[in-house]
Amino acid sequence: MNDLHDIGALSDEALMLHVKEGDHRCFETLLHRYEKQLLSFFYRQLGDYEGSKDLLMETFIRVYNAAARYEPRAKFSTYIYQIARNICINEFRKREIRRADSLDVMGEESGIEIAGEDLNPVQIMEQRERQEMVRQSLDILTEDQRTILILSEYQELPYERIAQIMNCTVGTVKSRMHRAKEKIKEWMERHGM
Amino acid sequence: MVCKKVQSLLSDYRKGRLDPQTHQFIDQHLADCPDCRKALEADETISEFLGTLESPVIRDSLAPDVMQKVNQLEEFQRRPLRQLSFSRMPPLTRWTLIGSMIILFAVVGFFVFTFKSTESQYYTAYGDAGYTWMGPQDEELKQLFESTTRDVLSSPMEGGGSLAAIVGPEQSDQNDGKVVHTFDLTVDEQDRIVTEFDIEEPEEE
Repeated sequence: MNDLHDIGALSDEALMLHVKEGDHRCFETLLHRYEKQLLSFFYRQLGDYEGSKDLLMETFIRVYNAAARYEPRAKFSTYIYQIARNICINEFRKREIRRADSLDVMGEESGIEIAGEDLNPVQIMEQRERQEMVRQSLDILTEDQRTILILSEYQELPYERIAQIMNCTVGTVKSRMHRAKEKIKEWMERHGM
Repeated sequence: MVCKKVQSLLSDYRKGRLDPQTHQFIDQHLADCPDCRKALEADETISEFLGTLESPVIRDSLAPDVMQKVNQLEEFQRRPLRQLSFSRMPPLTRWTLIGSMIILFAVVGFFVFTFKSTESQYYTAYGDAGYTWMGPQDEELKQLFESTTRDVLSSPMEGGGSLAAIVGPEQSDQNDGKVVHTFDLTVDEQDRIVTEFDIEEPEEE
C-alpha cells in the first residue's frame, strides 16, 4: 500500500488493522480523523483545554499500545470512544474535578480560540458567559448522563452507537438522556432561562 | 403511552434521523397533541442552550506530538537491553531500577561486611576450654591469650552476652600488676567466641 489515496479511502477498521502490522501512516490518518472530535469530547467534559490535550494524547497512545490485540468486533469509533470515556472517568476520579470556573484558560497562547472572535468585546464577554452557564448546567449531571448528552448533542452519535460505547441498552441511553435533559431544563428554569 | 414514545424520539425527529414513516407519524401526532408540541419546543430550547458551548478551534494539531511519542515507544521496544539508554527510560522505570540497585548493594554489602568481620578475626582454638579467639587481629593480644591461664570468669550480661576476663597466671580480684582483659563475650553455635573488648592498663603499684 504505497498510494496515499489508498490510505484515505480505507475504513477506520482497515486502517487499524494496518496499524496492527506496524504502519505508522495509517495510525497518523486515524489520528487526524479523530483528533478534533475527541478533543471536543474531552473539552466539553473537563472544560480545560490543556487537560483535554493530555487526555487526547493518552487516548491515542493507548490505542497504539493496544494495536497488537485489536480485533474489529465493533466499529472503530465505538472502540476509541470507549477508551476515551474510560480515560475521562479515571481523570475525574483522580482530580475530583469540578470543571474550570474560568474561561481564562482559553486564549491565543493555548492554541484555541472561541468562534466569532471578530465580535466586539461586549459580545465576546456575553458569549463566554453563556458558555460558562452551559458548563455549570452540565456539572449537575452524573457522569453517565453527561457523557450520553455530549455524545448525542455534540458528537451527534446515534443511540445505538452510544449504547455500545456505554455498554448498556438503547433503552437505558434514552432513559438517561431524558433524565439529563429534564435536569438541564430545571436548571435553566431556576436561572430564569 | 404514545406521547411517551413520541417524546423519546423528538431529538432524533428534530435532527432528521428518523425513517420517513416514523417521521410522518410524529408529524401527525404533533398536529394533534399540544403536550408533545410543548415538549418539542423545550427540546429545541435545550439544544439551543447546549449549542452555545462550541467546539474549540484547534490551531496546532497534536499529531506531531503523538507520533513523536509513538516513535519513542517503538525505539525503546526495539533497542537490545545492553544498548538501552538509561536517560531515555521512562522516569518510573528509571527510578525503580535505581532503587532496586541501591537495595541490592546494601544487602550484599551487609553480608560481605558481616562475613568479613567474622572471618578476619578468626583465631584457631587451643586448649582445654575449646574456645576459638575471635577478637581483633592483634598479635600481642593473641600471644597474651595463648600464654595466660585461661581462667575465664564470666557473668551473664543483658542481651545474652557475658563479661569475661582473662587474667594472668594468678587469679586475683585485683590486677596485681597483670594486664586484665575484659570482654563482652558471645559464643556462637560453633563455640567460637565473638568479642569486643577493652584493654585495661595495669594499675600503678
